[in-house]
Amino acid sequence: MNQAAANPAVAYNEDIVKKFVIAATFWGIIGFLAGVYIASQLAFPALNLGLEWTTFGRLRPVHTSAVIFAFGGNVLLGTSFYVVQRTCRQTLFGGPTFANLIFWGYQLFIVLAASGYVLGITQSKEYAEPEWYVDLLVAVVWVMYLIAFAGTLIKRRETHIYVANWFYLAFIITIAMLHIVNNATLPVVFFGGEFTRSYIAWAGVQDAMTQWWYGHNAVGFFLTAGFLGLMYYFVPKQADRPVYSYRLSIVHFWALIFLYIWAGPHHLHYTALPDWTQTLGMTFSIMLWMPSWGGMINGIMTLSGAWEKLRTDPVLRFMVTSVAFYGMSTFEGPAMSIKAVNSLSHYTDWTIGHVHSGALGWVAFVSFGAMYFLVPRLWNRERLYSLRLVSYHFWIATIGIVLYITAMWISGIMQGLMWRAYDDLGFLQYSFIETVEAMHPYYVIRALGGVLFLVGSLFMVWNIYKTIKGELRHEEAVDAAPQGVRAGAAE
Amino acid sequence: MMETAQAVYEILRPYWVVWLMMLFVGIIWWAFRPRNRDLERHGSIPLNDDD
Repeated sequence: MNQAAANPAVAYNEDIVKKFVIAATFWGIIGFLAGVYIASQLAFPALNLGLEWTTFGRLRPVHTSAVIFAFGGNVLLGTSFYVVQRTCRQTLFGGPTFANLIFWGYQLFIVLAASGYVLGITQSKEYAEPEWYVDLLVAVVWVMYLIAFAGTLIKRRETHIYVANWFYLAFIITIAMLHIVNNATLPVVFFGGEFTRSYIAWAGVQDAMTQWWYGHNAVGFFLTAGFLGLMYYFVPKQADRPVYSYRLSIVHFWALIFLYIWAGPHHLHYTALPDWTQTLGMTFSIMLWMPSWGGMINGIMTLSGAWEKLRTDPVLRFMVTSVAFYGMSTFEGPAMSIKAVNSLSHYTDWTIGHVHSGALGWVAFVSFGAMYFLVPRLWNRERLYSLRLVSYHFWIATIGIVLYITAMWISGIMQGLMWRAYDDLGFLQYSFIETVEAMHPYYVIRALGGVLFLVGSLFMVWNIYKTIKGELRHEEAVDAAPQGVRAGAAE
Repeated sequence: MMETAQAVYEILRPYWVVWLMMLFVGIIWWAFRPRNRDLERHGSIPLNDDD
């Protein structure tokens, strides 16, 4: 049922979406730059500068938080506000002031978190480094976000809740739950201690399990479910076709929700975690192949009958390539969760390569696609400033990703094999520093891949800036027909 | 009453994976049964926008 036709006067709050798009662009560059810098530190340790604030240990969470929570988070909040309004044919619940509070509260969280890391304020939980006072701020902002999003769903004028919103809602609710449980800390300031220190309520292996229940579901619900919300809206929009199978999307949703929450223990293979828990985590990780590939097929097959658009539309190319990377990295992940494979891959660069095929190939590419879709529409421009620049961005970034993940495969597997190599007398064949030395060329290649990814994103910044200014670059249509065909046509 | 509920709970609980699987298979059955073929029309919700 489409009541928008009967009532065209829905005043969507697009101002808030614009803010999030600009913030995502800004934090994206900061995050990619931080990534290039810490990658270079691994290749050239002198770049640690001998200062405590610029060591790899402090800058690495700046990179991970900037790309996941600052870039990815702003993309998710912004696109979810756009999608929920459009698919509910309703303006954002709570009004513009409430939305602006969410926006600025979220940016404050990013600034407090990142500056804290540089100053050494951390609770040392991966992807959950911010200390208790920042965690409280996030909790408040997140509940406001839930109210704005769910309020819009409740007030909707469309009878059915479109599937993209289901994924966004699962992302919002699950992240709230994970964040609160994994940050159940006691600040010592109330007992005469330091302001910036707290202790977690969970102890020992239960703390480790809670951390990776959080950590893996940050991947599953922040970086997967949330961005699948993007896929289910922006791929059909850009391709101008409905999703391949709406019924498959329902099964995709429930299968993903059922399975992902159990997969965390695969981060703790061969540790003090009970064996049955490790096996449970491995089993559920392998079962994730089904929803992951079901979702990938659903996304890619949306182009069924319109494949030629891939040749002419670089924005769609970003989106479809992202779904292909989603399929590849969610094939690799379950394989790595198998204990025998994990005994080789864990703690090596293979893991880093795997994460980046998902983060750069899937999350960032689908985000770029959505941003290129949104900018001309939000600022009421006829089209993007330049499609040619989108195409350059695509190819430069793709080459960067390929360099990155292949370098990490080789270095990771080599690292794993060197660590487990014994000589005839049963001594370890290599000292640790020998394995570090062997990594050097691959670290240089990885940093180069990161530079290419960053350069590509600068093309995007320029393109977005020019589009917002209202300029259009005059471009000949990219002629994809082979030379012979064109010559034949001219005769 | 509470004792009976407790006893039933203790019998059912170890089979949680079976109950969840039944629920999940139920969702697949529901989504793909021929009567629900018109669920596909929801796929056009994003495309019915004015712009």
